[in-house]
Amino acid sequence: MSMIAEPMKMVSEMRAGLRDIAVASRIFLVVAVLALVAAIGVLAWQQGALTRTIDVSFFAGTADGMNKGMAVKLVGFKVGSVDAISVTPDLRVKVSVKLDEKYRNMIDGDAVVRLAREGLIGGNVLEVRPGSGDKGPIKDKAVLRYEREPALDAAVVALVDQIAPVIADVKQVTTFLASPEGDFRQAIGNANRAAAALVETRADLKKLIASLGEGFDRSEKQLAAVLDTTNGLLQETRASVAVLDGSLRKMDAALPGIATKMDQSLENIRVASEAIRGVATGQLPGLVGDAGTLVGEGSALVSDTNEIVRGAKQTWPVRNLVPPRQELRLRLDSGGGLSAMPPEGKR
Amino acid sequence: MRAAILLVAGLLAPALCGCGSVPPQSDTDARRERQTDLGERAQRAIGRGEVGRAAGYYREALRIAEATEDFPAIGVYALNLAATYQALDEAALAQGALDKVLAEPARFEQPLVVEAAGRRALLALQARQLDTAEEWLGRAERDCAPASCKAQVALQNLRGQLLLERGNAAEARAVMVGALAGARAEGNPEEEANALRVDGRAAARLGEHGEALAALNRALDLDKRSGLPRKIALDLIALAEVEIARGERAAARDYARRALAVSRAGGSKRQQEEAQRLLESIP
Repeated sequence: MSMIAEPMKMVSEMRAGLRDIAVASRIFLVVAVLALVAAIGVLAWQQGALTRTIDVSFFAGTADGMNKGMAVKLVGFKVGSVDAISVTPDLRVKVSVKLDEKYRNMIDGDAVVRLAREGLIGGNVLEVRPGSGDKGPIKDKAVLRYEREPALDAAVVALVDQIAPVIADVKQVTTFLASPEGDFRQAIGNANRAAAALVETRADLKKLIASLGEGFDRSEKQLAAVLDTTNGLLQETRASVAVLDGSLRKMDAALPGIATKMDQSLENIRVASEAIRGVATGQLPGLVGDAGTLVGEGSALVSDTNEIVRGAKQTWPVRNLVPPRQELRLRLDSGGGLSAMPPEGKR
Repeated sequence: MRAAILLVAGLLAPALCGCGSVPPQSDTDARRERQTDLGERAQRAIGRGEVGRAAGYYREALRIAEATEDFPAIGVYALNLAATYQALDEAALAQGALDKVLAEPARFEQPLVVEAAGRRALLALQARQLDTAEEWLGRAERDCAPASCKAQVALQNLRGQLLLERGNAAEARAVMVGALAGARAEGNPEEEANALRVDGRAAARLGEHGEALAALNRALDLDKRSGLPRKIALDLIALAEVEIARGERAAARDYARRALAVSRAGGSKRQQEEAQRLLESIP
């Protein structure tokens, strides 16, 4: 009896084992199918298959730089993509765009679409400028206005055009002020001479007042001579004051012109420096956004890459394979050569 | 069994997540990483022969280290900066960088201070300020404890150069015997070539031209293998001087021309002038 019972027990254990495996496989299969469905769902959601969109279009002169599927951005966020590009009978290019409906309230009916480039080495994107808000939110099948971003060389030329008059103005003002024959320098020279003459006259008058005191004590004859001298001195003083007055009048007449020129120059410099700042920070609309953003985006790209590499290096098991970083020293070479010191323990 | 599988999976998943996660980086870590990164860039720039660029990287790394009073890093980058300035023939700037270590030696590790003093002696030697060189070399030798000091062979070579400059060629050769042995024992081809050069020059002074040429040619061979233009030019100049002493004008002219070409390509103005002077002095 026990001889039959033993194999029966083994068979029943095997059956139970097989049942367990079958249950485990079913669970695994269900989980796998669920994961696959979820992945497809996430992919579809990411691709915008489940997003409600509105169709808008615009007309461009050329399809250069545009392609089906390219991103449409609003203040840097992707809000849609190009659905179709076609040519109309009058040789215009009709670009149909699908916009995510949730951004509808942020884009106005008079919004403008602009072809821009993401940095100098980046791809083209269509950028939506929201509009004034007077026409309300954008509607389905709306036709938007399109503009093309000026090329970088045109922007640079525009900038140079702005700066050139400033330099010319500054040069003109400097020449005017520095010219020895110019009214300004002559007026200053005259004023200097007149001032020197006044100083001399003042010294003479002091002497005269002193001698007047003495004169009263002496004879009347001497007093008359002194008065004659005083009269002469006063005439000299009057002449000096007249010269000074003339010089000051000239200066007075010249100064408004100088001030105006200076004002203009300073304003031009301000405008030019604003433009340069705009270029540098990428805030200059419609001018040289590419050049302005290049540095910032390049730097961000490098920073991101560094961050990714750092993260990868610190992740198991890579962190065990990468040697720890240390300050590298140049060896003291008695011949004046430059060579690195080998890491500790290598030599 | 199922429970066991679930348990293992449950434990394994967070463990794997933990292994795969990246710890957050603090500002100090970020600064130190930037500093090290600059140091590595400088090394690569030196490898490409862009010494000026390397100096720029070291300057920035030193600035970051100084901003956080990271003394070990200040020591390393000050020394590296001094080495690059020296290679650029900017002796005053090199001295300024070394002063960061030599002015407050207590803040830095002894090997760094020894190297700084040694490099200061080398700068003085290059400027023919023999007494100053003697003073700094003496200080470096005094502080160089044999067990931990890695600059011993370099200091011996500097001592040999100083003796040679002072006219003690025989003594210089005696010192070079030890330096050569030390360099070979360390497996340091750069210092071996330096020792051979000093030995060759000393032999030439003593009229042993055959030995001088042999030593200098071996030095040239080693320096070529290391790819160090500045030192190749030094070897060629020394060879030209030996040939002049032997009366071999054509060979001397050839070496001097090669030295001029190498120093031009290597970008060393001082060596160019030296090679040019030598070339013009050959009748």
